[in-house]
Amino acid sequence: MFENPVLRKELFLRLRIRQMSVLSRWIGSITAGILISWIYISILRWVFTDASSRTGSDVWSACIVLQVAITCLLAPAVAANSITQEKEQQTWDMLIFTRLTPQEIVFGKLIARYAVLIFINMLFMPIQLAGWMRSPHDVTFLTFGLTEMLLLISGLFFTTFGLFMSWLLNRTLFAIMCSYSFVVGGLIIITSLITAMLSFFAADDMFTKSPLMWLNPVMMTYEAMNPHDNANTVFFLAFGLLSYLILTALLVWRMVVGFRRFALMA
Amino acid sequence: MPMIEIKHLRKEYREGSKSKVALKGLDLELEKGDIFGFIGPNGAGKTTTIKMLATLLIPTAGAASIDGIDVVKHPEQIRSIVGYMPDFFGVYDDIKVWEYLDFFAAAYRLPRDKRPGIIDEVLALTDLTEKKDSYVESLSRGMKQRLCLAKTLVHDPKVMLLDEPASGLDPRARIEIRELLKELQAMGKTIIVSSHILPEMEEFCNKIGIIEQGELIVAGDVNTIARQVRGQHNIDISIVEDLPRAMAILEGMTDVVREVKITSGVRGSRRDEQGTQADAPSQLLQKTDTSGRGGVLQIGYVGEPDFEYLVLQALIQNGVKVKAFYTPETDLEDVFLRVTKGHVA
Ligand SMILES: Nc1ncnc2c1ncn2[C@@H]1O[C@H](COP(=O)(O)OP(=O)(O)OP(=O)(O)O)[C@@H](O)[C@H]1O
Ligand SMILES: [Mg+2]
Repeated sequence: MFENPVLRKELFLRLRIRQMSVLSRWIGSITAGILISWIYISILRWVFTDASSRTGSDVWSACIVLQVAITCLLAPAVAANSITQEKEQQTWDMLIFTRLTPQEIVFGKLIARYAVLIFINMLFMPIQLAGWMRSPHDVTFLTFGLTEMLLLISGLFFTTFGLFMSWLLNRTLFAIMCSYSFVVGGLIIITSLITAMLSFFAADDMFTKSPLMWLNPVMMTYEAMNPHDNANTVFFLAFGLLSYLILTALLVWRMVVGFRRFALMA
Repeated sequence: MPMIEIKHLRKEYREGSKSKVALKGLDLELEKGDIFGFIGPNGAGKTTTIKMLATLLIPTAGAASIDGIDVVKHPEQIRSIVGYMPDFFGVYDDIKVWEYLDFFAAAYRLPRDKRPGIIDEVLALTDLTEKKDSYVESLSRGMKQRLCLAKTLVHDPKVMLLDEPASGLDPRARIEIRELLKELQAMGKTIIVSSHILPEMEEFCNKIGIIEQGELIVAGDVNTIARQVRGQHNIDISIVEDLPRAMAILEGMTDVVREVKITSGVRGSRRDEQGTQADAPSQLLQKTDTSGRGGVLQIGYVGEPDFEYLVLQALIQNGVKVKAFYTPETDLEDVFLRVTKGHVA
């Protein structure tokens, strides 16, 4: 996989810091290192010394909420420029003229951009884990597992959706807008609005019964963090996450199969 | 078997509900080692043809094959034997010259241990060795063009499709590209190179095709066509008075004078318009209302170069007051070359 030239280029060559001088690179990385360790140390100290029994689970929940927010706001955009930018810079024709297969190009770009998201999520890991260790009874293993799955899968789905838009459209701006409209406008807002409208006519617990809400990442997070009854929660999240995975696969399949045909139409 | 074979190639673009014909059934055959100059004005259909050969556009009708491989049916095989340089292209940011070439070498599946050697070779060929460790975006336009050509060469293609490789370059850089193409020719590659300008191509193309509005008007051996198209050369004649009479005399010499036009009607002023060599020969005469004053005439002379003087003689013998009689210096490149030196900046 690491032989894939697209992935290698996207991962290792894109970093602007390569053009900085050696000195400023050192100063930059040392400052960043100190800053991050300072944040880690102060939060971890607080988690383990604070007397309140709920501190651990509160810190953990805060991390998850932040991570979900970051996923919803960053993932749709993180790959949305990856193909449109090549079209705008007029490098796309030359790229698809090489002997690279559509799979290599699509997966190369997808994995490279998804890696950015994973990296940001990993930064939260030490704090998350500390919170979980501090209050292992408030955060069950099931809850922990479900939320991590949710973060990974929704991130992958949103990133893929952004890439798909980038493949479909010719302008980065449009690709980013469409991608956000789908994730924030469609999955979060419209599902809630429709469900709210429907609940005028139906029973009160429509919010957990409407299958639309099972696709809503905010609702899914809420469910994963506050499992009312385990069987239902697992079913609910399994439905949502599986749908995400299937849609992801469909989008990737569409890109790979239609890759050349679509490029030729333009 | 011809290296490139194009049969009735046709392309229509869809523009909303209408369709626009960009190429109206092109036929062409090129042998191995041919350098084909593809010439035509803007919008003639050069890029469309080249993109179809490069498997980047699907023909509406007709067929094309390179080295016996059909471009529509086996695009992957085509891409491994063809190098393509688009008319407009960009480069990646934040990437060094050798990394850029390494990326394309990898994308063409060249083995990792062979790549450094190949990169050095193509850099030397394109005269970019000194720029190996520079960032690509810091290169000048001409260097980027050469880099793109270098990239086109990494997989040692048999056939090269170059869409206006010299556009936007200064005369010196154009000449350098020309020299480079000559080297490629010597390496036995089959090349299609498009351009707007005929004289530029004469030197290294052995075949030439002129396309206009989607139709190949002429195609064939370069010398024959160059003579057809540029069978005349221009002579400017500055006349002190009585322009109409001079014109009448010149128009009478139909065996050696193809075209007579007034480039400046005001006495003694310089011509305000340079006659272009590509003017259609069909326009035999251009008459403009002139008073009896002087001016500058331009004629297209088609006779033997050594007998130009006969035209002058005829004018003088008929009492026309000729102030000057000369071939206009249009070769800016020549002037440019004399004052510049060919260093890689
Ligand atoms: N994507 C497109 N959609 C619609 N029409 C197009 C498209 N691309 C080209 N055309 C039309 O096809 C014709 C041929 O265009 P083409 O780009 O092949 O010309 P060209 O000879 O390369 O010109 P130039 O010298 O300007 O590069 C033009 O009339 C152009 O308007
Ligand atoms: Mg063109």
